[in-house]
Amino acid sequence: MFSFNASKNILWVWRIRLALICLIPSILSSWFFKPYSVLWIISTSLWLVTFTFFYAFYFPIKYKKLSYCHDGNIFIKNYGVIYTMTKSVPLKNIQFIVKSATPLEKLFKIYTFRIVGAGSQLIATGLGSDDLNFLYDYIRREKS
Amino acid sequence: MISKYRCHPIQIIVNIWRLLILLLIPLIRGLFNAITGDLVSWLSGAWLDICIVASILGLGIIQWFCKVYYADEKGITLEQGIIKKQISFIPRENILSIVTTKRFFLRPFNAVHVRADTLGGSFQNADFNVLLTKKRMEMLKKSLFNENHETKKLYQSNLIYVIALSLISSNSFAGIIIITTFISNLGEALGKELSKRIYDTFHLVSQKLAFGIPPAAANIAFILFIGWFVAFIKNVIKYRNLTVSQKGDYINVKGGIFTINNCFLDPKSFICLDIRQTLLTKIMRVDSLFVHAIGMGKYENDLSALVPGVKHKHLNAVIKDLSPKFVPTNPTLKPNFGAVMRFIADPLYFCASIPLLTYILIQNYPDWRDFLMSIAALPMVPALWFLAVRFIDLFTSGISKKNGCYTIRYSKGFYFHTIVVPKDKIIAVKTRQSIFQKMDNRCDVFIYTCSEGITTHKCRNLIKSDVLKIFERN
Repeated sequence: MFSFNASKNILWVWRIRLALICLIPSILSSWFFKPYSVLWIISTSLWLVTFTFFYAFYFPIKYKKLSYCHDGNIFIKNYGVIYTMTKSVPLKNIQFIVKSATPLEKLFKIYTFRIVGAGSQLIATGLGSDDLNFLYDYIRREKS
Repeated sequence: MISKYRCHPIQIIVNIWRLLILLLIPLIRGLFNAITGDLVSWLSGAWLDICIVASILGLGIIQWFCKVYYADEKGITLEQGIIKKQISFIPRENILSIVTTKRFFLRPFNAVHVRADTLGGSFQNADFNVLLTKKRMEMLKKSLFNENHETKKLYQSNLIYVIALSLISSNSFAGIIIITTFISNLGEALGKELSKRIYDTFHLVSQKLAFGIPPAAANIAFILFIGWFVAFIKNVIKYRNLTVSQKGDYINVKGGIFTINNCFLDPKSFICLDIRQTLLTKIMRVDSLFVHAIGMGKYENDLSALVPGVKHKHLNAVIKDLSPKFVPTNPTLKPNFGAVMRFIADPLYFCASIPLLTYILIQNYPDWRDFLMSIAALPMVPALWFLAVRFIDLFTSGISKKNGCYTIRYSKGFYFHTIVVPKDKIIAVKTRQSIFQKMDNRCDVFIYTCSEGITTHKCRNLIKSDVLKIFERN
């Protein structure tokens, strides 16, 4: 059984995305509400609490619980925050594979690997380039 | 060294034409006016439109440049994406169908759509979809298939049967959508005056053909007829020259006049065969043979019929040639005559409610009597037709099993279906009993198959214990 965790850089990617998303309510609340007015305080508190929740609690737990393993016959993803979930795809059911990276992921040298089976798919995020290439070449070899 | 290939350059226009058409046509119309008038003042007003068109075109070019593919005996690899770069690999053994489409407006450019499909991926989009030159398409086929096998022709369509299939499968509403979209787009391009003239001409013609029917009712009947006729012509063009042949392990289905579709199907892609009849073709003893297969019938203009029409006595011989294990058998589990209301209740509701509703409306709006009487006649015809179909279904529906293949006979809408499906292609079986059916040990059976979407096949009022036995669920 070959196990590996997602790259730690995935935390940075999630947190940067969170910061960019939280820019929207921050700009909107400053635009529409007078600073230190009641509505401004409420809206700013809301987005700050959400940001802190995801930054300090949700993403670290999500990263800790995210792991992958395969034994040559089956590929398994362990994930989840509140519920712990496991998804597995037998190698013989794999129809095709896709590897991709957004510019932000490329900056942190991590990649997304999508395994498409008949009727389902498994998306493996936060893979380092070594793990990605190993998986990609392995599945390509086994399915040829 | 792997040779990577790009798509046909016309892919640039195909990618962006929907966006471009909104901007380019008013731009060109403005340019024609400017050439005869003041070019400088036109430019000062239209510079933003020109910039937007140029950036859309630039984006299309970059998208085309970044999309490359290569194919070998292992499979197909496709690289695409500008900001989010994606590399997909489809193993050769998983490719169950390859469909090439030569559209009439792309033929002068020597461009062919090529699609490949597997068991996975989206129902709406092909797993591999590119626009290639004819030469590259042939190279791709050669790298995936061994083309040294002999071709054995299994079936060639007959024009009479193509017309029969088009008569039964043409849909008025599909035709109406085609016409109105065409006229609206024409109006957008060439001015509202033209589309108004077309609609006025249509109104005049329908008045002339009214023959004493109230004008509004005549308009509706004429619209439905024109819609059906356009859909009929479209289907005749689609299925004309349909041939089915066998090349090595593959079944090749080819058809069409202006747009030529060519499907190469691995027999593993066949989920089930669907033998269809309408009331008319059932009386004439003619069947149409459709196939539910991976990659086939995915898009609106795809071929889904294998055999547009064949005499009932020759059907089994044709099926044996195409795929020997899919020969249908007579039903062993059948509904009882006491279940007649389960079959005809739905159409009876329509047959009763249309005259009742018409009567109520006439009582409330007596001035509209003539119009309402004419309008009521229109839906009564399909309602009575539906009633006849369901009544015959009571005597013909059922399930049987032989050699690991199920034959399921039922009606859906105005069609009679005979589905032949291997046991391993059935994804789920569901039984449903009402309170009355529970007393009789009877149930309705729902059988689910999945090709390019999940299809439900429903048989009514069969004995539950026999159903569980035949599907090995007891």
